Amino acid sequence: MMKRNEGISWATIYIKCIVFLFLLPVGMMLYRSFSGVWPWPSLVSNTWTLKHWIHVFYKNQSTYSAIWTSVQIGVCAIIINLIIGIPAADALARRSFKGKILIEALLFAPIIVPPLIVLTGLHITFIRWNFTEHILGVVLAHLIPTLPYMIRALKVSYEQIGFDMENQAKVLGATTMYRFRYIVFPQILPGIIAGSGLTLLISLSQYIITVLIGGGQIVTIPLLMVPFVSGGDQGIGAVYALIFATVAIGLLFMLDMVLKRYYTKV
Amino acid sequence: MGKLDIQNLELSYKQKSTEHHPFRLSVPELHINEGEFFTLLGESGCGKTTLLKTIAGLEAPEGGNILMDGQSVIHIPTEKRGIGMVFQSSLLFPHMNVLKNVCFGLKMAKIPQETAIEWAREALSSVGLEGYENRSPLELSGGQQQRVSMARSIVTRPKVLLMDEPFSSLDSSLRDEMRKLIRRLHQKYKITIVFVTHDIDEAFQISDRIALMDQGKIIQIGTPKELYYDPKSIDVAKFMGPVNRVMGSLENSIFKSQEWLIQMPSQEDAIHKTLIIRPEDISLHNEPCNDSLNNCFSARIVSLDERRGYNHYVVDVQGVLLNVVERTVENSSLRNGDTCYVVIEKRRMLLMSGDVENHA
Repeated sequence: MMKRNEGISWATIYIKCIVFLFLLPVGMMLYRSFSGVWPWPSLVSNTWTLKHWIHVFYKNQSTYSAIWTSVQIGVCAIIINLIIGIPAADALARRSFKGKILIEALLFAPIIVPPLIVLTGLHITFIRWNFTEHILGVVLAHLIPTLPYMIRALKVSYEQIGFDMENQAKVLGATTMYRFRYIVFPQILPGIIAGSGLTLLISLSQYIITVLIGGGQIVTIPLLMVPFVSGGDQGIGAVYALIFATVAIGLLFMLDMVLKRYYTKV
Repeated sequence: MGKLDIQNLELSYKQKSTEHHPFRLSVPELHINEGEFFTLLGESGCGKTTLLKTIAGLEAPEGGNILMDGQSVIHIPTEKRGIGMVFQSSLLFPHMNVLKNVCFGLKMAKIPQETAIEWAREALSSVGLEGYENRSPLELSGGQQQRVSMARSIVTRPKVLLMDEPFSSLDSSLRDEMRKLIRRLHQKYKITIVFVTHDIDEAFQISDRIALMDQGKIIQIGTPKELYYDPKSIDVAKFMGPVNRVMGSLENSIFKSQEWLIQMPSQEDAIHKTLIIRPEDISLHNEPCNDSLNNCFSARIVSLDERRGYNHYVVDVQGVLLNVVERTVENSSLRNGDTCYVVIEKRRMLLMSGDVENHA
């Protein structure tokens, strides 16, 4: 019994450390966003101020549009990824065909090949097609780093389910559409949530792809944040970082809620 | 409603286990009557499940036709064939409760919800699961899950209900109960049932007629009695249980093998015949019998295997080993190595053409 108790207490301490490590930067940023003059080498800030928050939310109206643009791009990327990813994952997980390994390698290539390399070629193509400086171009470019994760997550779900349940639904009279809606979808839902979450986070974090394809016209949260973090007013940078985190967590939470509500309705 | 006809059905595919020679299913003709409980019986890999899946439309045949009530269904997709199917595992949809599972087929058939729920409740009560409507399938035992699965298939009133070894994953006491239940349901709903099993006892217990399958072909169709008492080939006889086989020729109603002569009911002379003697048609006696026409031979007991209610003997009759099954007698004195006398029941013997070696 002694040993077991000891084990639990060690685990608790470990978890507390981890939580602390994750919360520390958030706390630091909160602190930084409200601190005014903070001269070197003092350990704490001398004054308190709201000016960073006022700047971000009041003086700079582009904050709101940047949040909205980020959300739009993220959600569009999720939808397109799902449309491409569901059939692709199904094929890779449950069907055998010639050249499967090759196609799988191609689909997962963006994880291995640095996206920047793909991006250079894509940039030239998009210029020809007039896709640059447009939100659609940015959405399409965001698919490159996100789609492999979506397919991976969905593939794992598809590998679990096989064809038995669908055959059972088939003999009960369910057509392809109904089978997907009532049988397949609920079963791959964990994969959809995981893949969508990853897509969202990766899409939100994109800086270089957005700058290059958007040509500075498509402004997302990272585009506003990076200049302040890398040399401007760090207080404002801290506010943007907090916004970034809030948007990401909020969207993930909503995604989870919406999908789970759908799941229970079925 | 529910007559099934199969004509010249052909299907071949590679099985993983036997890749060098592809599996071939060939059914020239099969009629299953309306309301019949029909069983496809055979060892695993004989093609019985493939045949069932072909009827369901889950496998596409290369040639031939399948008719339901005289209408070809070969080009009709599974979901429109109006069949029901119960698989080896219950395959309940884990994200729906019991009632929703049973209602699924009715929902697909666009039956109004209230009617669907009423029917589903009735189906659940007919499998003995009233009050389980709101349970999750994960809370049910294996037997209960399979009951729900049966209710779900029956509630849609399919023309034909296909069952693919539905009880093989249950333990034996439960299996017996389920067999009785499916017989009751069959009588209550008067559905045509095509049942697949490798278990001969199960097939005999529940079926009106049985098709015995081997290597993708149906080798005999008949009632359980016909298959047992009148097998048309050595393979069928072998499948019905352990049998004794003796090779020889027939002359003047006497079967002559290398070792012995056996009296037969009068029949025409023939050569290269195999005599099939069932273990339960041989009796053991302590005393020699008087009548020489009785097929009585002296024998020595080679092994004795005592089982519940029955003793399984192997006896040596002039160099030929015979399996004998006898009811346990309380004061039986026969032991290993004892000398005794065997009497072979004359009328029950079966004569097959061909040598046993070709089939062994």
